[in-house]
Amino acid sequence: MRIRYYNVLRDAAQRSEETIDIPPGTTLRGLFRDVVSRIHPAVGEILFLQTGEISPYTRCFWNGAVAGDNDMDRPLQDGDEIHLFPAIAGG
Amino acid sequence: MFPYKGYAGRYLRVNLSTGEIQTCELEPAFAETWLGGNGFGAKILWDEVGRDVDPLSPENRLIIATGPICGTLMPNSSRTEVITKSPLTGIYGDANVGGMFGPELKFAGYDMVIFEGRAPEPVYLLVEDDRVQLRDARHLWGKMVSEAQALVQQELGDDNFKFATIGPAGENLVRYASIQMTPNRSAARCGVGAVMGSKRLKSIVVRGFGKVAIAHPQEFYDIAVQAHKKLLQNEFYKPVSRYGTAGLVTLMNRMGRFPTKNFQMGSFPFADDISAETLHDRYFVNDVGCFNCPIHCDKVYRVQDGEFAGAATNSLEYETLGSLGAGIWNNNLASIVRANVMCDELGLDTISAGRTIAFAMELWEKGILTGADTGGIPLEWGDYNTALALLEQVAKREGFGGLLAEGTRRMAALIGRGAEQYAMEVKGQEIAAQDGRAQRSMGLAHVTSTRGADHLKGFPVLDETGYPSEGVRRYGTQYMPEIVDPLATRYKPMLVIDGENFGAVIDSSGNCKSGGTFVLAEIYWQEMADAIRTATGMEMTVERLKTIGERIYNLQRCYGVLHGISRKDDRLPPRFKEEPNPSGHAKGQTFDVEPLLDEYYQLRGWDVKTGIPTRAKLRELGLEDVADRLGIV
Repeated sequence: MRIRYYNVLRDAAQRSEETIDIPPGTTLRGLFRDVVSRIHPAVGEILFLQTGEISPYTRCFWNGAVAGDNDMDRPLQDGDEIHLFPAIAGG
Repeated sequence: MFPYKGYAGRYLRVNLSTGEIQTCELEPAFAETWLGGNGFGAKILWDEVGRDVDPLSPENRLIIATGPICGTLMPNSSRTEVITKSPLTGIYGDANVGGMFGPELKFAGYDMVIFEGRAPEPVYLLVEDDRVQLRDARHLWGKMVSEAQALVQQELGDDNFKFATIGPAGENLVRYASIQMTPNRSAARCGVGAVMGSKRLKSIVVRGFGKVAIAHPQEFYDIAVQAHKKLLQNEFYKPVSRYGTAGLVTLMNRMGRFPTKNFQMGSFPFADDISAETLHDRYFVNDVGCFNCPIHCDKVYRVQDGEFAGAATNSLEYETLGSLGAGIWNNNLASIVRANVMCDELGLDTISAGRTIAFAMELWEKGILTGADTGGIPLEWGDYNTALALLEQVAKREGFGGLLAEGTRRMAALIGRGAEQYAMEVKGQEIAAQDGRAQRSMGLAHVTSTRGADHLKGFPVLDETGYPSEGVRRYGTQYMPEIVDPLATRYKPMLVIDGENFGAVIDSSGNCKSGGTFVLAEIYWQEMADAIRTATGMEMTVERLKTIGERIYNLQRCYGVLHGISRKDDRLPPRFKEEPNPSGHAKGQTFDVEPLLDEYYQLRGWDVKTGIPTRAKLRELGLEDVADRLGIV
C-alpha cells in the first residue's frame, strides 16, 4: 500500500511518500502504531498522544475519503492509499 | 486627558484638499464603544460618508486605524485596519494587514489617521512623532511600490521608516487595488488602494520613538507570556509556522475545497506542483515574522532558475496559490511567485486579480468572450504568460485590462451575453479560495460578510476539516458532532455569528485573526478581554467584549442597509446550487445558502424577511440613532 506524508509529517518521515507491505488484516490503527511509528518514530510522536491514543489532530484520507474514529479498526487492503496531514487550518 | 493606556490617545485628521493636518484627542467614550480598528472605522464612515458619496470622490474617507493591543507584548499584535467605502462593492469596505506599520504608528503617538479630500498634486504623508508633513510625491507617481519606498528612504536618509504605499494600480483606480505595508504585506481587499489613489496619496511614511503605555504592566506581562507559551505548545503551531498558509493547498484540495477553473472544480489535479512542500523545497529562503509574532507564517521565496529566475517574494499565501494557480489552471509555481511579485509591486489584491482573470478565462471557454473583446489575446486555461501580461494591463488600465480592472461584477454587466452566470462574487467582491459546497459554514460566511464575499469576517476554521477535540474545546460537547462536520448545516449560523463578532473585536484590537485567535484559539474571548482590560485599564469582561463585537458588526451591516443592502443581496452565485462539486471529499455536493439565512437572521435579532437589523436589536446595542436614520420602526 502507499502512504503520503504532508507538512511536518513529511519532515518527520524524511520523505513525501512510500510504498509498504503490511500483514493481512492490518487495521488503520495498526498501520499507524505497528508499522509507520516503527519505521519513523518521529512520525509516531506526531500521530500519537503520550497516552497512546491517536492524536485527534491527525487528518487521514483513506482512498480519498476522510477517515474517522469509526474507521480506525477496519482492515486495510492491498492497493489502498493513505494521505496523512498534521493539524492545519486557517483559510 | 485620555484616561486609558494601550491607546496613544490621539489621532490625525488630514484634509488633502487644503493640506490642513489636525492632531485630535481620542474621546474616551468613543474608545469604550468602538474599541479601535474596524470599530473606529465603521463609526466614522457611518457619521461622515453618506449614501450618495462616490467611493472615489474627495468626500470619501480613508481611515488607517490600530487598536489598543497593537504594538504591545501580546503575541500577534501587529495588525492595522484600513477602512473606507469600497469602490469595488459600494458599501462598507476594509482590509486588515500585518507587518510593522501599525505598531510604528502607535510608537509615533497615533491610534489612527483619517484622510479626506483630494490633494491637488500627488503627496505622501510623513509622520515622525510630532513632525507631521504632507510632502511632494510627484516624482513617486507611477513608480512601483518598492521603488517609491526606496526613493523616500533615500530622501529621508533613514531606512527605518515604515510604509503604507500604493502602486500604479491604486493610482489608476483599479477597483481591487491594494495598499502595501512594510514588510511587503498587503491591505488588499475592497479596493482600499484605489481610494488612496483617488486622493493622490502615494504613501504614508511613519517613524515613532515613543512606546505603548500599559495600565497594569505586571498582569498584562503575565497574560502575554502565558499566551506566547500556549501558542508554542499548540498542535497547529509547528505546521503553520513551518509552511505558512500554503500548507492548506494539499489539504483543502483533498477536501474538494480548493476552487479550480473559476470554481468549476473543487480540486486541482496538479496541486502537488504548487503545494507548500514544493514551494519550500524549491524556493524557500527564510522565515519572516510580523511584529511580535512567534508563528512567523510568512516566508521569503526566491526562484533560482528558469524563465522567472530572480523572482523573490514574501507573503505568498494559500489564497494566491489558489487564485493565480488552481483558479486559472496554472501549475507553474515559478510563475505564481512572479505573479505575487507583480501584484505586490503594482499594488493589486491577488485574490480579486486572479479570480477576475479566471472569470475571463471561463467566458473565453464558453465563447462569451472572443478575440474581438480581448484585443486578440486568447485566454486559455493555464496560460500563465497571458495572466502575467494581464496583471500589468490591469494595473495600467490598458487594453482588455481596463475591463478586468472593474472587477467581476461590473465586467459581467458590461459584457452581458449571460456572463453573470459565471461571475463568482458576492455583493461585488470576488470569492476567495473556499467553496460552500465543501464547507457549509464558509458558504454562509461569504454571504453574511459585511464587505462582500469574504472568508475572514466569520472565518469559520473550526469545520474546515473538522477536529472534534477543537469543537469541544471551543464550544463544549453540546454542538457535537455537527459543528465540526464541514458538510453539516446544523449550528453553522451560530458558528459564523460568533466568528463575525469575535473577528470584529480582533480587527479592532490590533491582534491577528490568523494567529493565536481563530486558528490556534489560545487567545479567545476570555484571553482577549483580559488583555484589553490590563492593557487599557478599561472595565472589560467577555460579555462586554461580545457586545462591542456585535455592535460593530451590526453597524457595518447597517452601513450596507443604508446603501440598499438586504436579504436579496445575501446570495451566492448559482453555480454552487446548480453544479455538483466534481471531486474530493465534497464530490457530488451542491449548496443552497437560503435555508441557513432564516436561522442566521433570527440568531442575529434581524428581521427574517428583510435581513435588516431590528430596532430592538439596535436599541440593545446602543444604536437607536442608527435605526432612526434608516427609518426602522
